[in-house]
Amino acid sequence: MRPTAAPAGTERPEASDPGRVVRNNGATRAFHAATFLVTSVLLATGWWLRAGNEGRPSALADLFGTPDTEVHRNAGWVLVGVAAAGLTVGVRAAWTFARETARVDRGDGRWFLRWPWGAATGRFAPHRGHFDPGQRIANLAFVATLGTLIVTGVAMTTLSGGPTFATMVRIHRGATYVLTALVVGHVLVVSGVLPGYRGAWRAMVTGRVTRATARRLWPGDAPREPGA
Amino acid sequence: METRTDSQTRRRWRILRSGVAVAAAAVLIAAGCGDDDDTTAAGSGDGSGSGGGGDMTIDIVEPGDGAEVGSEFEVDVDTSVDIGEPDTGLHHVHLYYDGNTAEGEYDIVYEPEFTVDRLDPGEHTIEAVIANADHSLTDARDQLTVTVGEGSGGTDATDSGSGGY
Repeated sequence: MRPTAAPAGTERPEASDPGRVVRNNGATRAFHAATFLVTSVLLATGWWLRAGNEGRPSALADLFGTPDTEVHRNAGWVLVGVAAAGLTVGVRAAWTFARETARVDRGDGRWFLRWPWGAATGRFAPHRGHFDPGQRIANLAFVATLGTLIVTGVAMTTLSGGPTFATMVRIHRGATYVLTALVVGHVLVVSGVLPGYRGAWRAMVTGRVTRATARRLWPGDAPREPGA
Repeated sequence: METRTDSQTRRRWRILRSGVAVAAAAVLIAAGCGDDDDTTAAGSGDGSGSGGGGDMTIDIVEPGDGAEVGSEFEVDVDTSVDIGEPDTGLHHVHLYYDGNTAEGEYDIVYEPEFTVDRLDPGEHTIEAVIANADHSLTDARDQLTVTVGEGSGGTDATDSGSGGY
């Protein structure tokens, strides 16, 4: 039987290291790193300003030699650029991301029910997607909050002030609170504090995970054992 | 002959293009709201993100130019527009000291009275500038010089509180 080509982003055995499989390619990791970096700058300066420290330059403001408000504004435009690049240059990966995030399969509900047990022991209920059902929800939440922050941020830089600006500030803050919670949860999961997710961080840092990690977290997308 | 895969690929591209177009439209619509809103922003009528100021004025009422003040002293400003925190959409005032306007060291004033306590003894210039709610600066500004002494000024002004996005 002729083998079918693997869709973008799916796992493949790594030729140089048969014990590991490729989970994310270099472009995907670069996009994630850029998003992580600029979002970190935005969250740091945003919370600095929210805490009432405007007029007291943060370490980032000192580093760039410009007020925190300007660092935040410029980083926001960089995020717009990163998002635009992801939707244009990375359109194929964006499609895979959207398709795999939107998928719903039989058994996903059971995966959620068994999630606490799986997170603690690594024995997750099976699923068939490139992302597990929890990742799909997280993906939707990240896209929604980052999209909201981009739209309201662009609106604020253009409006300068007024009633709609005030509304945008409130929405921007609300989305920031949600994004902060998401980022904390995301970092907690990939940190390996939860035993079930040990080794997951490698997927977006080195791009490769062990076969055992792949089978544990993404069983429907993981290659079978050689000879199986 | 068109294969099923080709058809699916074209359909996916169409959906993705539509998504990108909707996202771009949302950003443009959000950006386009500016001109309408800014005309109601405390009456500034300034559609730009920075500069401008139109008919806006600001005067530093207290202390007087050349006054000797304590290490903590009250600055009273009189603005032609209402001021408030950014989430009100109103303008506010930045107080810059000794011509340092680029490094991000300044005080934020959301009320007509503000207590200054960051100046060392000696002569200092204070520049009050009306800022838009997004912190971009207008051209409305006033400046004076004070001499800060060693002792407390004994002011009773309240702090302007926190703000930011």
